[in-house]
Amino acid sequence: MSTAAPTHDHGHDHEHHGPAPGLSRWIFTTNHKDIGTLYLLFSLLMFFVGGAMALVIRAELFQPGLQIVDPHFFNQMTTMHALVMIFGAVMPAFVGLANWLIPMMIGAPDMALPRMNNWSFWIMPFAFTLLLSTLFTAGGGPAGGWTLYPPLVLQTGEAFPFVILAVHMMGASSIMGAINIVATILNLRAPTMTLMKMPLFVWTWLITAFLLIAVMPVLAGAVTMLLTDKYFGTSFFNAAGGGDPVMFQHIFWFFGHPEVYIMILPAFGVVSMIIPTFARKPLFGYASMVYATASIAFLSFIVWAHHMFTVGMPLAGELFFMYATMLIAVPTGVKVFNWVSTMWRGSMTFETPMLFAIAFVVLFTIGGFSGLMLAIAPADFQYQDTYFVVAHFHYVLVPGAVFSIMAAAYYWLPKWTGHMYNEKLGQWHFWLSVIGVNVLFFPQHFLGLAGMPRRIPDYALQFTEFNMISTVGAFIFGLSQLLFAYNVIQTIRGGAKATDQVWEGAKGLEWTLSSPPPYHTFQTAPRVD
Amino acid sequence: MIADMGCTTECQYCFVLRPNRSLSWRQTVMVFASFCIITLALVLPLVAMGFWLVLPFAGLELLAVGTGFYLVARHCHEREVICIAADTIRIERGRRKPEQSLTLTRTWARVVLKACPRQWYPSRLLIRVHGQTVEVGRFLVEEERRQLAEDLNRCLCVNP
Repeated sequence: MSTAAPTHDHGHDHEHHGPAPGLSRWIFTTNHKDIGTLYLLFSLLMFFVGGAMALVIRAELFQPGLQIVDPHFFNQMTTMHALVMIFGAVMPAFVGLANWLIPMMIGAPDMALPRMNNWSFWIMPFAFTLLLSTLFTAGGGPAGGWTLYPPLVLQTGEAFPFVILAVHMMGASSIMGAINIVATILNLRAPTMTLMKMPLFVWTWLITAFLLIAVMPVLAGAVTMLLTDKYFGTSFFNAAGGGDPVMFQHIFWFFGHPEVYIMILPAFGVVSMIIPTFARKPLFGYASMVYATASIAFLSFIVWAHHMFTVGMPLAGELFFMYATMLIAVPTGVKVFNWVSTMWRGSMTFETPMLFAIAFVVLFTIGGFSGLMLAIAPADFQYQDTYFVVAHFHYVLVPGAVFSIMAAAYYWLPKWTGHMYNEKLGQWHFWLSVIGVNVLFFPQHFLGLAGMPRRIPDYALQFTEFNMISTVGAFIFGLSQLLFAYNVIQTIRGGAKATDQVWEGAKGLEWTLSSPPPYHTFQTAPRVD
Repeated sequence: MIADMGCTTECQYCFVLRPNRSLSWRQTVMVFASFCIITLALVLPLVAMGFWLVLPFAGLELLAVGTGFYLVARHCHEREVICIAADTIRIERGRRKPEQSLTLTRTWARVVLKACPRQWYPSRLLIRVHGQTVEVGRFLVEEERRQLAEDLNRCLCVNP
């Protein structure tokens, strides 16, 4: 036992406690709201960077032949678009939402590990600067697809080690974010908030964080083995040296499929918060939602090979992965049923967050159904590597994950900023987005069924019309996102004052706080009924 | 959280302060063990197949998870005991047992609740004696800190 040294009061001890002025506030901040804001703004920026790449792809595919970019650059765009959207836009957006909302929802003053929180964010801009700068290296950026399959990816030029380092940095950031979220949820809940009283968004993030922590070392190991294969003479994935390139696909998808759920489970949480508010009814089947989320997370570990039915697996393997994949439809169906049942006979109103949430339910279900089609192994041999797959995962990720993020932004923006957003502009944004996204991706189903391969800059003439329609949809969707950015910026700058409750039917601890909430969240210890 | 212990043989008034925590040490160990089991169950088959480079990353990650949980648990188990006796105020800090102790003269003690000039930062509860200042209850929420300041003031005003 030592003796504590008293602090000497020089009359200015408050100086260490004021927020840092100007830019240094954002660089050195350990406050969950500041870091949440940084994550969300970063993801919005990356959404536009990745979106610009998507528009390059769609502009090139407007008509057959090579018009705008050369095939190598086209391949760089497809690869970078995926990496930027997955690791730079969708995942950071959900981490940003978690940062802003989880402490407020569970009654905690901040995240459990605030300094690590700062670090996990500030790794991201460096990782993406590194990744994007590879476009300017000799040989260009990575062009072998975001899945980084060897031996193709080993043909990457000088960019290769930088890409691997960038992936490691993104992984480290994700792991730190996940550790912080788990530690916060488990350690800092308000005294009466038991696990089964937690809001669904918190539950889905808890399970997502478990998934992240489980699979990230697999990705880190896999990309490091690519690096050693290229530069240090190992043969993990080199058949000439006794390795197995197909094994990379197994390892990658062992990470990659849970990654898909990492991007969609928090979306389920967001929608499960929004629908009860605007239906003015409690969420139907709360407990079943929690168990369904956990079931989906468990199943995500045993379905990875449905991404590679055509590599030559034993029949028993194909059957196992086919049935296991189909099983996911059961808990997912429970969720869709519960959302619809929540709306059933509710006093519904259709503000922008609700519109996005309803669009999520409908369009994500379309993506789920095409996923079921792809799960059928013999049918998958026809769909493999066609635009049908592109249509499927974009239906899950864009009107799925991205729409839920937009719904969340509109739903909680008045709470975060203290100002109401422009509802009319929000409605315009929604309708242009929902029309744009369907015009963009629905024709791709037909292209895929007709046999158009994915990841090609040129195509046969019979695919022209659907590609033109798809490109028109892409530009409608892409440009309509400028409305979203404008609306967000205007809301941050000012607007009608939001009440503390904001939405009539909103329930939860975050709505008991002022709008905007105090810098340190709970001034009084919250009680959960 | 504040537990007002009332009078003991040594102290006229005793306040035990601790941060809110929703996970016991035993549960922390169980959560960490579950992370280890899940991660190793996924990673060890890959290692057995020769893809051993996954293992160091899994090890590093588990180290980070363990360190994170340990630091949070350590912070959540902090205790501050303020013991007001006839002539002295003893402030003890520690976890399972007192690790730091400071004794101040009661006669000249003043309790100051200092608001931060910028409203979005929490206030600070200080006990001042002869220019020495000791901060207590940094981990309390605002309402609890205000309540503690009132209670301390009340106790110090009562004649020993």
